[in-house]
Formats: sequence, C-alpha cells, structure tokens
Amino acid sequence: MGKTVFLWGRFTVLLVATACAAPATTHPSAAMPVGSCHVMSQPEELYALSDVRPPVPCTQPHQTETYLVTRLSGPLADTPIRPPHELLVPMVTAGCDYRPIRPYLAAGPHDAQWGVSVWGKVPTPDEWAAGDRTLRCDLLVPTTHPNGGPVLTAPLRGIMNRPESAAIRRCNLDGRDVQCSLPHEWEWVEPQGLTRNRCRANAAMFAGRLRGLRIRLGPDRSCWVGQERHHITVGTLREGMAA
Amino acid sequence: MTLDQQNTDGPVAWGDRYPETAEPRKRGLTRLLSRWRRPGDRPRKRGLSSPLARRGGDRTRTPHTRQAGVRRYPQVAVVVGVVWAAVMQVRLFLGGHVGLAGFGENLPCRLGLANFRNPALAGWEHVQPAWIAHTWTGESCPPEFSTALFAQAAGKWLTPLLGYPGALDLRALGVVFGLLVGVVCGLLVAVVPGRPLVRAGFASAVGLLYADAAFAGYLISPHAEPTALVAAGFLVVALLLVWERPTAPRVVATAVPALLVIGARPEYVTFVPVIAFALLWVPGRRIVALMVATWIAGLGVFHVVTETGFDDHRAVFQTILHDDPTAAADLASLGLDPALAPAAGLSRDDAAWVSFADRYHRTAHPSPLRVAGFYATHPWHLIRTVGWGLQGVAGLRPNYLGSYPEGAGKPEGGQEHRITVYSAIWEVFRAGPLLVPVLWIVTAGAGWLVVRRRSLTPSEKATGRLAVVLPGAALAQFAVVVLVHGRVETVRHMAMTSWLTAMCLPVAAVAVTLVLTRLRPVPRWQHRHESCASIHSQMDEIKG
Repeated sequence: MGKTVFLWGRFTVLLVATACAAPATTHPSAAMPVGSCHVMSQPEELYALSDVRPPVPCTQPHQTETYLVTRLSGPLADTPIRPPHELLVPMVTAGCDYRPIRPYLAAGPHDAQWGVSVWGKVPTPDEWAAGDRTLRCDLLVPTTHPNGGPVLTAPLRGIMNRPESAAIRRCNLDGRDVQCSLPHEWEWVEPQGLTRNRCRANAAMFAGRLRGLRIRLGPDRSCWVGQERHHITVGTLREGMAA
Repeated sequence: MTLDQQNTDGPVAWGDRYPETAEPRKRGLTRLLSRWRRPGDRPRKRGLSSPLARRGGDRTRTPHTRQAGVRRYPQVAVVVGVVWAAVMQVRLFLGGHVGLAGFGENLPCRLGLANFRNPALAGWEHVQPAWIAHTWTGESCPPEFSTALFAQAAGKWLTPLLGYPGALDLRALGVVFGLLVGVVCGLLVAVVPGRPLVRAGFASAVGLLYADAAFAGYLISPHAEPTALVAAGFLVVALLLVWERPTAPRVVATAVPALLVIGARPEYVTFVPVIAFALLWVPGRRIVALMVATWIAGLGVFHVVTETGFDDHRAVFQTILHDDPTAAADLASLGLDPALAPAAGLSRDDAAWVSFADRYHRTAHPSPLRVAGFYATHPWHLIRTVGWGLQGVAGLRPNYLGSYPEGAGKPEGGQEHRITVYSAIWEVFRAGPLLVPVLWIVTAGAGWLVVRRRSLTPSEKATGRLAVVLPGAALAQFAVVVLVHGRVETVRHMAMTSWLTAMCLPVAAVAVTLVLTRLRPVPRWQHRHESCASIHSQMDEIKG
C-alpha cells in the first residue's frame, strides 16, 4: 500500500514537473525603443495590457512594431495601482497619436497604408507600482493569409519606399479589398474624392507612368489604378517597386 | 445494517436484514426476513458462527469475513465498465471527433501551451483540439490554478503516445475521460444495491448522463468542467462506499475526488460543506472523517480565496439592474453610486459603458455577502434571479458553443446530437423550469425516507443518503452561481448544477423504488436491542 502510494506520488510529481511551463525571460516595458519588433502570435498576448517579451529582430517573423514611446499622463496616471482595462483603454487611445504613423512608414501623398492598426502597451502592475508610466504604441500588420495570423518579416519603418509595402497597401479583386501582396486587379491611389482627370494625374504620379495602365473611379470617388486587360497581379504598381 | 458490519461502532438496528442464512428456510424469522432479501446481499462466506459470536468479536475471522454481506459482482462490473468505456470512445470519436469549443478558455497556458486555431475565428464556432508549445510572458497567461491542470498535464504526456499532433491534443483527454467514465460505471455496479441487472441499469443511466450531448462535449474541451464532472462520478462512488461501511481508508480515499472537484473551479467550493456533511453523516470513523473534512475545507477555502475575484459588475449591473425600474434605489441599497443607474444592464464591452467606467471604479464595491443580503431583503429580485438560474439549469447545454472541428463540414456553432437521452428528458424542464426544484425535493424526500428505514441494507441506505446529498449539492452550487455570475453565461456556469440535477433522475428512481417496494414496516420488536436474545434463539433454532 505504502509503496503504491509512493509510486503514484512520484508519478504525479514527475507529471506536473514535466508538464509545467518553464519561466520565460522578460524585458522591461520601459526598455522597448521605437523600431523594436514584437512577437504576439496569440490573441491573448495582443489583448493583454502589457508586453514584457523580449523584442526580436524585425527581419524575423513578428506581429507588431513600436512606432511611438511616450508617457501616460493625467489623473489616472497618478494612481499608485494600475487602473483596470476599461479605464486604461481610453488613455491608451488618446496617448497613441496617429500623426507620427505616416512619417514612420515613409508614406508619400499618394501612398495609403491599409490594414495597419494601433495597439498600446502599458507597464505591468509591478512596473506601474514602481513608478513606470511608459506608453508603448505599436503598429499591427494585417493578416496576409485567410487562415493565418498577422506576420511580417520586414521592418515597418520606411516600408513605403520598399516593395514589402505591398503587405500594407490596399488593393481590390472582384469587388473585395485585399492586400496588394495578394492577387488583385486594382490598387488604391490617395487621395479620394477627385475627378477622373485628377485621378489619372495622381495615378501617373503614383506609378510613374500611365502607359499600360487604366484607372477607375469608385462610387465613393476613390481612385484605383490597374493594369490593362483585367490583368491579375501581385505586388504594388508604385513607381520603382513594380515587379 | 448487516450484523457483520458491527465493527463500525454504530448502533445496531435489529430491524436491519440479517443476511447469514445460506439456504433460506421459510420458517420463523427467516421466513419473515426473506421478503427483503436479494441475492446481492447474501454473504459469500458461509458457515459463520452465531451472530453473537461474530458480534462479540470472533478472533478467528479472516479479512474475507469482514467483507461478507456485500456482493460486488466483479464480472458484471467489469463488463459494464468496459462497455461504457467503449460507448464513450465510439460516441466521441466515431464519424469524426466532437467536443466543445473553448471560446477564449486558456487554462492550458499554465502548462506552456497555446491553442493552435484559425485566428480568423472568434473561438465559439468550432472545437480546436490542438495546443502547441508556447512561451507565455507577463500577464498574457493569468496565474490561475485548477485541478483540471493535472488532467491536462496527463493529456500532454499522452498526446505523443496516442499519435496526436502538437504538444497537447484534447482528443487524448477525451480518450482518458471516456475510459474513466467506464471505470465510474463499473465501480457503481459494485457499490449500488440490487440485482446485477438493476445495478447495471443504474450504472448505465449514469453512463448515459456522461454520454449525453449536454456533457460529453466537455470531455474534449479546454474547460475545467470535465475534470470536475468525472471526479464527481468518483466522488459518488467514494461516498457510497463510505456510507456502506465507513472505514478509515474509505474516508481518506474520498478526499482525492473531493479535492479534484473542489479545486477545478472556485465556485465548486460549495462542495466543501456538502462533503463534510456527507462524511460525518454516518457513525463510525468520525474522527477520521472530521480530519478529512477539515483538510478539504482548508484547501477549498484556500483555493477560493486565492483564485476568486468577485465581479460585482456581473452580479449587479448585468443581473440585479437588468430591466430594473428602481435601479438608482437598488444601487444605493448595495452601497454603489446611484448616479450609475443609467449604466444598468450594460456589459463592459458595451461602448456606452466607457462613460461610466471611471465613476464605477471610484465607487465602493459590494462584497458577495452584501449582494446576498440584498437578495434577502428584496424578494422580488431574488425571485427574478432564481428564475434566470433555473432557466440556466433547464438550458442544460450552452447553445452558442460549437461541437465539431473546423473542416468537418458542419456550420459554425453546429452542435452534435449523438446521444440525447437526458437532453430529451430536459425538454420537460425547459417547458417548466420550476420542475427543477421539484425534482430536487422529490429526490431528497425519497432519499430521506430510504435513510429512515431501518429494514434496509447499508448499501440501500447509502443510495438514500446519495439522494439526499445530491440535491443539496445542486442547490448549493446553484445558489453560488446565481450569486456570482447572475444571468451572464448562466447555462455554462450551471454545468455542474445541471449534472447534479441530472444525476438526481436515476438516484431518485432507485430511492423511490426502494420506498415503494420496501416500505413494509418492520415489527417494532425487531427494532429493540432487548430482543436480541430472542432473535438469536430463533436463529439458532433455524440453523439447527
């Protein structure tokens, strides 16, 4: 009896010991600079208020990239205990200014980023109690695969000057918006609300040419450019980046 | 109580059936008692000395003679157990596996696992059984504990052995839980009273309960419920054994399934008083029972204190204030800011809640006791909330969680109906949720009548005790779920209450049968200890 109990006890201890997760290394929230890239492959990690996983090189698969690091301010930021989620979300929304995004991406007047969303991260409760009020603002890249999560293997900083920007440009196939890194027929050209002639001029400036291209004015007066004869393509028509 | 169980130090009721005669001769006392005898209660050992010799402590008796009077029908138990283990495997896996969608349940993250799922889905649509190794950091994996982690750790160990992909495949858990259901059914055959067919029928009714579409899905899910439900089956077996003969090993062994149930979810702390009552109900080994009950209570309270965070938003704003014309006054009664009355009924995800969030977090928050006190002084609110709770029990299974894996050709949120015996019976409760407490009362009443009959065997009385305890456990669990979760996801939170209520059906059937068939009163003279000598003289005469 005693031996059986001992064996079962040892089995249980072994089972739990082998099954339990090893403690992960962490990185302070305050030490995540602008331009750092972060792996958040699980939705729970994205929705968590804080992120202390060490950043990865932006050439490795990642989900978010920090474009702004600032400090939380206001009455709530003075509280010694970190406020709950529903109070922090408005603070984060207000703190993560959208204006630095286009310069960060190096977007020109005819470039439109599409599918990129902003996610803020605040210090952990312990870091907050220690006085850290760093607010980290990340850009989340869009999903490129219908059954896969968002993944990018290139830095977002200055991406509009590189062919990888097709992953965050807006294109259209059969009336459905897709990223330009996926098969498409039309590509969006900023801005919208224009006449056909103005759209043609912008498309020419966007693609650096008009020969072999056609333009389409959407119902909302959005400006689209595509290759002739219903050509399905992948990538962007942006000047200097076309395949 | 049979005479061979007098070493339990309990009072001897001479009205209890005397099982010793191997060849019942229709004479005298034997003739009278033979009406209540069933094959299951005949002793295997024969040729024992007179009852007085045994009662006085026959030094020559062997361990086998201590077991005399209780038949286990091991072959029937094994057959029933194997059959139900097989039924569960077939029911879960034949034609493609089924389960229950996790929908955000991330308990296995404590084992370094992450669900491998289609990120385009919200989680309620399909069963996503595969979990992959993942390194969690910070607060993305909350530090919660559940005894379900033991089962999931075992599943993690079994996954590669069974050839499933990933670090943990919930189908491995389904295999294990299905086998354990078979073990529960087999053990029930051994411990419940009656002929083999009756025992097999009762165990099969319990097997059908586990196999029902309302509960089987949990067995392939990341929720904590399957561990608790299967452990509850073992707890029933353990309690029946304790009530049959409360030896120290049996009492101590009860602690294992009890702790597995109580530690699965903080709400299951309601089992602590129920189990303590159950252990202390029968005389004998009360010191050990008290000690075990204290352990269970201590660990249960520790678990609930460390794991529970009472969310008064659900209990107050989404339950008490739902469609409440006197919201401001009720908020004041609860000690909350009456200015929050316009937020009545809003969930935290509601965009309109944001404007109230700051004021809500600056106001005082009621404790569960204060909310309970509010219900005590506001009967109309109590009736409303109890009504929602009863509807939750009557709902039986959450209707928004899918049963099939992605790619099985089933629509999102599609639910399976492979075995639906209890689900079909539950149509009655859906039509009249008030019948749920009626079932509890009938079960407990029949059980109480069984317990009070001295003419019944310990195993029969144990069934009666089970019939009393089950509704008590269901009611306690119901009360806590109603208090803590209110009308938020009531059906899913009522899973244990629903299981206990469904268990009432076969238990009540046995108890009512015992009441109806064994209600024949035992002559008064048989109840008195003074009549022992008379009985013994008659027995000696019978035995020649």
